[in-house]
Amino acid sequence: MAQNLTSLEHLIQILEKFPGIGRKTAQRMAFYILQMDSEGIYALAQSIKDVHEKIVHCSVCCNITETDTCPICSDEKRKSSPIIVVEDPIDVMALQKIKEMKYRYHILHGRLSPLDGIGPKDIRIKELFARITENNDIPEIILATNPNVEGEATAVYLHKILKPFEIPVTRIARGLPVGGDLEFSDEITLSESIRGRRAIR
Amino acid sequence: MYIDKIKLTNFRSHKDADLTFDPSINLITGRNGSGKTNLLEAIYYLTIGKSHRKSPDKDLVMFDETYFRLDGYIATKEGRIRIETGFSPEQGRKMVKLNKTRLDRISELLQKVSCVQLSPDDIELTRGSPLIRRHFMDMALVLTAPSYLHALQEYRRVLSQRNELLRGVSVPDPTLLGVWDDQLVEWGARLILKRFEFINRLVDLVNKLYHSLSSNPVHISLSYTPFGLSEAVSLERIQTLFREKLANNRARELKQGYTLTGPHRDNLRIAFGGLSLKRFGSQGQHRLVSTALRLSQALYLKEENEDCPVVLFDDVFAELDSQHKELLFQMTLRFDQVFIVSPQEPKIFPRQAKKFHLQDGDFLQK
Repeated sequence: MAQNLTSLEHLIQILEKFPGIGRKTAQRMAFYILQMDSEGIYALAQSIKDVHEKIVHCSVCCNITETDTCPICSDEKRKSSPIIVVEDPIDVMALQKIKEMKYRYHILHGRLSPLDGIGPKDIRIKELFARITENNDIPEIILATNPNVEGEATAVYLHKILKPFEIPVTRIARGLPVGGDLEFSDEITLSESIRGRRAIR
Repeated sequence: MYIDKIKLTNFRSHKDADLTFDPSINLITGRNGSGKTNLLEAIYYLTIGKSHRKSPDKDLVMFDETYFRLDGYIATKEGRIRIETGFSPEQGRKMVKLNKTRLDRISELLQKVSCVQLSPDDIELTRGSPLIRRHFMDMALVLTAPSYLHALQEYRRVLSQRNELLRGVSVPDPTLLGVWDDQLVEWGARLILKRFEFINRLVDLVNKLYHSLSSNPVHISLSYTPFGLSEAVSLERIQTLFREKLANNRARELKQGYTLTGPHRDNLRIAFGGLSLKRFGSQGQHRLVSTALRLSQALYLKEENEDCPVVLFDDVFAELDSQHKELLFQMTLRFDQVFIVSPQEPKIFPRQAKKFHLQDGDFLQK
């Protein structure tokens, strides 16, 4: 950076830390911010401050929310529905696309990964336990952690420790996308979907 | 398959070379250090996506240049394809394009094109550590079965997670360790089953090839015995044995802090007339058996993929006597396209080959 622009450099360094943002994009963003008018700057700063101050974790499902309890947990129509366990809040946003079926969620805020120093105590398993212990209206727990090594390990771990509750615990299916043709699927997806085949009801 | 054309830009010692090859035999001659092996490395890189010498990508860029690029046309059983690949240390990312479309994963190329290289280092296949033979098995399986590559990547990931847990300061909770055991067994058993299938096929191929290279009627046996199994039974049986082994090793693993059994510790033992080649083999025996192994890997790829890999012979004739040289030349006819690198043109050489001579960094076509 050229002479005497420490404040700009400082902004670039902060933006650079964002996921998916490299040095060049951070520079472009910083220069964009630089030419914004004070109204825009104020709105940006205020919105960042707002998310920081207003967003909390729901005391029931641990999802991000502005009102505790969150709208999903306080939705009467979802009472006594199955709980879907996911890794991150962004997964709930994806699952909320399911319109016709109503579910509740539990957000772990992470996955088991010894390499990142994350064990069972570092994700919201304790809260899930408390929720199951305190409520007897949970018909099923659906494990929807990601289909990779860490997500699978997390699902298997939860399955093992949830056994004593005698609630059905299931794992989401993996395999062919709906509307996808067999001939266009890669070999790994195909073999996974054959491994996970089911009887026709 | 065969490589029709390749264009090298700033690749090692080649500033700019544009070559059209013969669909069957290509001979590359030139003095030591003239860049012959660098050309083979370019062909290997174009088809496999990495250097045969395991060099990092940045080492492949010509001195004082900022990038390298390879652009090739390959005739495969599914038609003619164009592969472009390159690397720039500044951008730090490898670029691969298939027919002008950028690929997300280089592994997408692995099932379309393949290549096997024979080199004087192959002697380590029979003489070296088990790691080299595991890599040999993995390479053949990755190039023929995408599911094997997937299982291998998952297994490696689980292994490092599990090792991290074992290395930790406190003794891990048995339930937690059990979760990683399950996954280790799940992916590991698949690798072992595939390795068994591969070895079963390889035994016949390697014996046939050895007997066409040597008049010695001795039998070469390959023994792959994970968990004391001598043949593949079923995936379930492998899983059970793997699980038992993990249970037996529990205390030791916790003490040593890493995973002691599994496909990452496999060995492939090679016996020559019932005697361990590694312990009793002569230099000449090692040379011939390792050559036969490498050639059988190429034949395996040819049979599995129904498309013959490009086979590179990097200076492997030098250490053979004239009779074995002749036999090895005969062998090259079993493949679609071969590249033979040699300091001088060998005395006994099929006339139909296309000949390239490297001099002062330039290719002179004879």
